[in-house]
Amino acid sequence: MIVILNDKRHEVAEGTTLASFIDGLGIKPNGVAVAIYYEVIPKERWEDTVLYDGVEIMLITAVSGG
Amino acid sequence: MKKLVIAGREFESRLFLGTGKFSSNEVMAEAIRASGTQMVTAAMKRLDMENKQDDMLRHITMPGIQLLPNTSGVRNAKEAVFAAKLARDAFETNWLKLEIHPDPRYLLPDPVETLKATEELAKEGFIVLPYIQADPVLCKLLESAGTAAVMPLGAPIGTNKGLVTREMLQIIIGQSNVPVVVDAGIGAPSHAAEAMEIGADAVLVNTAIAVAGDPVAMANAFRMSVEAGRMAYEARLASKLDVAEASSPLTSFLM
Repeated sequence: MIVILNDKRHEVAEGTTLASFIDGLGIKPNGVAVAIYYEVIPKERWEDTVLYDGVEIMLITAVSGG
Repeated sequence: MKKLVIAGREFESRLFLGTGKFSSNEVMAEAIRASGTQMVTAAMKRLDMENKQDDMLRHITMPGIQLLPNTSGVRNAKEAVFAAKLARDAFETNWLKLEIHPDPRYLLPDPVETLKATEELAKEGFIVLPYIQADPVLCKLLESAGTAAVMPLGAPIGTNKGLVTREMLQIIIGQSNVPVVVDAGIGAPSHAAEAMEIGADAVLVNTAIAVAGDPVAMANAFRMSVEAGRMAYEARLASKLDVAEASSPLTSFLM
């Protein structure tokens, strides 16, 4: 199935969790946050969040700023 | 010197540091150490998979330093509340620099949306430090909304013009029941000292340090000026007069 992360399409297996998807991309969870349709999914829920076909995920990361 | 207290947390340093515009994360970390700051801002952006994940967080995570994520990039209260929740998860803190500036030319904060967002975020348990116009009326409204501090601007972000809003800042400081942090526009240590001398509780500096010829030395200079300004405020400045008042005896022993 296809999931969309920050407007880019990714092919993943059925039943993939948010935690394993992010881990598979090599993204370190420290300093990042995820929202699905503008609902923030706290890190403690990543394991239990199963992705589905077409889901749009936003992932933000810490950057420098004043 | 008296310690600064915001939302029950004590700060010995009254200099807050922004992390934008440094030439490298290493220079930024060194400037943070030289400044003696205990409050450091950070921002967020969508991760671009083509670029490596920025490891700036590792460079600003130091003992005794409070992270202050900002909401830069949002245009209204609704987006700010969403950004705040992202920040809380990304940075593992409920401290927040609320900034809503939809206008890209002057980056001036939207007071209506800022007030709305402060009300909502304070109810949700965030420690809100809003970046605002130097507007004394707005500051009182933010206090009622549950703000932890107010952060009025000295001049527009990154302009280095100093305390253009000095008269309004003095009114804000005179009547505020929450700490007043002068944010934006501070371009030189003398500006920071001036803000502290008129009774500001702290200053937030970024551009003036980050783009200086030697950011680490400049961070040190700001540390000293903030301390000097605060010390002068606590020592109570002598008042201004319109006519001369001799500081030496005026006995006429020469004639």
